[in-house]
Amino acid sequence: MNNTLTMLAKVTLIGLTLSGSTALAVDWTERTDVSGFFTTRYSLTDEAAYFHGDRDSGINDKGSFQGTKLGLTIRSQINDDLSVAMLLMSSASENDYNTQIDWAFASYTLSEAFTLRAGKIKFPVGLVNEYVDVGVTYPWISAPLLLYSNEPNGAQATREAYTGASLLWTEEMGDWTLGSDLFFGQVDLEGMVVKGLLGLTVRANWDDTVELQASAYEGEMNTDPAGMPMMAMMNEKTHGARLVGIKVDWHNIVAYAEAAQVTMDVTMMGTKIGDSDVWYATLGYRIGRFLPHFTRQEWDRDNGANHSLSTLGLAYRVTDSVVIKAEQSRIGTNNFATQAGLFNIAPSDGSTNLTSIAVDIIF
Amino acid sequence: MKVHNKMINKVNKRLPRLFVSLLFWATLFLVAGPVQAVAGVSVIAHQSVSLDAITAKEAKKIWLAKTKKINGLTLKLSDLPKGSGSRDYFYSKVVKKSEEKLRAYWAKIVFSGKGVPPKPLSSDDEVVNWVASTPGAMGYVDNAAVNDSVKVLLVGQ
Repeated sequence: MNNTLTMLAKVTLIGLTLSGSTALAVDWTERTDVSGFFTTRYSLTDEAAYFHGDRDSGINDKGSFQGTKLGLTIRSQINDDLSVAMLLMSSASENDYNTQIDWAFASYTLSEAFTLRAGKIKFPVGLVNEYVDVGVTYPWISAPLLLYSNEPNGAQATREAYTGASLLWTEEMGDWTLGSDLFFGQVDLEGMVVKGLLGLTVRANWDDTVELQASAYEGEMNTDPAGMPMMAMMNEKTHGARLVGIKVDWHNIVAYAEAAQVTMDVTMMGTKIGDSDVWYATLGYRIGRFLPHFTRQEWDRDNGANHSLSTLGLAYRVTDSVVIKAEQSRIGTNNFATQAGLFNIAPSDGSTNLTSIAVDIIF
Repeated sequence: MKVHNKMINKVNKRLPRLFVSLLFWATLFLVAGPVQAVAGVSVIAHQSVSLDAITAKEAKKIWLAKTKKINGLTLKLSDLPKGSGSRDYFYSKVVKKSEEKLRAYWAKIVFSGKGVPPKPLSSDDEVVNWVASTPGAMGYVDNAAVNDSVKVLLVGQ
């Protein structure tokens, strides 16, 4: 948190220096925009083992408010080409809210086509990862967990944010908007830092109806060599992923599909135990204010951990800024006796029901 | 007398239909509010914007922040409140996006820190005054609100 605040202060200082002294005389209320989102979720399984988290945050048969959060985005336009933006986010934990700066970066427009960004930036991998906490932007209660989870035992395809720099390119060609994001930096994880991270995301968007995206990134995992054996094994090993995705929003049809291959160069008894394949597909149909949808997710890790998730969901748009959602999922686990997957301990059964409700608001 | 009775019968027959019709239109008026007479909107710009005309497609790209600069000049956009006749016309005929899709579109941009939506102003007159006094500014207003202080780049019918 302190590091993030220091970084934000530096970014702001650089911004103010670059913008010149005249900018200081500007009325900042004219140049600063504040927007917010709030999400409250309640989930319940029929299993005593905790899913997607531990005793503090995971979901089990006692219920959980995991995913309840409040976010405020503040963006200040320093001059025509330079802006600074940050997301202050507060998430529900056991007895309190944990508040942190989720991302904060400076953005400089080099030309109509190119923009340079530096700071702590949301990971641009995955169709919805850059706004993954804002439920109003997608039909699900939470973005498909098997691909978007940041749990240490999960697929590790996407990350929350990286610290570094990014070069954005965008070009209009008829009804198509083409773009790319070349990014470099490091990701800080629990007990591990992925350094020298280099990645590229390319996007093609046809009139906001069809969106195609492909990403690839690679970095070096750095752990404490004297730490826990499993973590020590990962030290200075390569980690990367390749993803492809498509989103369609055509008339009343809403569809998403993404697939990822994750690699971690860690071998045990001849098996690359960290490698994963994960995919999901969603199909929904808008009927007035209602959006019923179905999602199928599958995740297979080379160490035997796996899950499948089938979800039937319904989103009801109360207003353009408020959406109520309900979902019923079945979590399938093949090797549950030996591999807990995203449960904290092996579940009692290979099939678990998950029920969730949520209210998403933007303001 | 016979003719008179015939007329009374005719009126009596038509009265329920008339009543139902009146009830229908009264309900529609109460639910939907008075229909705003908007013949069309004009896209206007500050004199500094080096364009004489734009197409509806170009206006759409500008209002969705896909075109951010014109000949090196950064564009500053204005918007009108929901429910305004000019806004309804502009977003349905020019941008071709529903309020729901528009809100989701901007939410993605705003909450990833990549931009902000057009500046919200309260009336056509306020838009004209703001555009006239702000270099790089553009707006859309009812055709009737346009005056000589701004450039007209596109006239909707």
